[in-house]
Amino acid sequence: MKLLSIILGFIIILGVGGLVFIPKNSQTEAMSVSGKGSETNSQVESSNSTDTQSTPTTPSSPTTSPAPVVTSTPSGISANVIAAHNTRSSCWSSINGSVYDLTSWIPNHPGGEKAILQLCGIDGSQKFNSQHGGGEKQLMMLSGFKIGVLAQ
Amino acid sequence: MNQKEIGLLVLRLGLASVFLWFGFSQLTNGIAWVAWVPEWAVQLLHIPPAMIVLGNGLFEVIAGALLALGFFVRPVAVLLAIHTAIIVFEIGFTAIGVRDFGLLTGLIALALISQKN
Repeated sequence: MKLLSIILGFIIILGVGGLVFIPKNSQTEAMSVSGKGSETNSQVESSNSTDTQSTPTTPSSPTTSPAPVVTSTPSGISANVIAAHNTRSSCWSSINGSVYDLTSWIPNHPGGEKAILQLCGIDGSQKFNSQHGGGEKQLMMLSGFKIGVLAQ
Repeated sequence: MNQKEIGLLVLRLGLASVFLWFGFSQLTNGIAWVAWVPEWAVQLLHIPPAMIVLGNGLFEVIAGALLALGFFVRPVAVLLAIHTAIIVFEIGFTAIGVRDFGLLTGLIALALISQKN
């Protein structure tokens, strides 16, 4: 009984360790053989399911993420402009009236990449609020990615 | 192996895998976790947030491994329950906070029903 428990424990340790380490290695390999592409949302979903990455990404904290140059009207960034940034390599989303560039956050989101990828190019207010609504820390982190306001 | 023992084993291995995953993740991709370090922890410990993440990751890996192997289950479960309670309190009433509250209740149950080592 005790021996079986220890064997199962080792399997769990190695299995979980493998799950954490192996995807990182396979992503690195994928990054080294693929160039920068322009994916659509469906392509993003597809690449997500096949565990490949089209653009090398450097992990960075929200506060150090450089703000991109945004061509917006004085009234704000339009939904059409946001919709054009619906890829893993350029992921913008409007949340509660503000526009955010979430590109650098995709590989770093503790809840997984998919949660951010599904917000690219769309209004993510409902999804963000239902997941993190009221969370001060999440709002603070989100503010680090702000690049403008949504055009009315 | 009776039903209670199997249930305890499932609970222990399930919780162990959660802490191992998050622990390994913090050790291998610590920068992604820095933003989650509370300000009071930095002020209290007087060490950089990145070091706190690494220390926390190491703690979770060791605790998770002990749970997985079945060593010191009760004290480790109590320690992890305290650790998780702090996280739940810090995160607050959000989807993640509620999920962690579920983990906390699992850890308390494990601490209560596991045998003394």
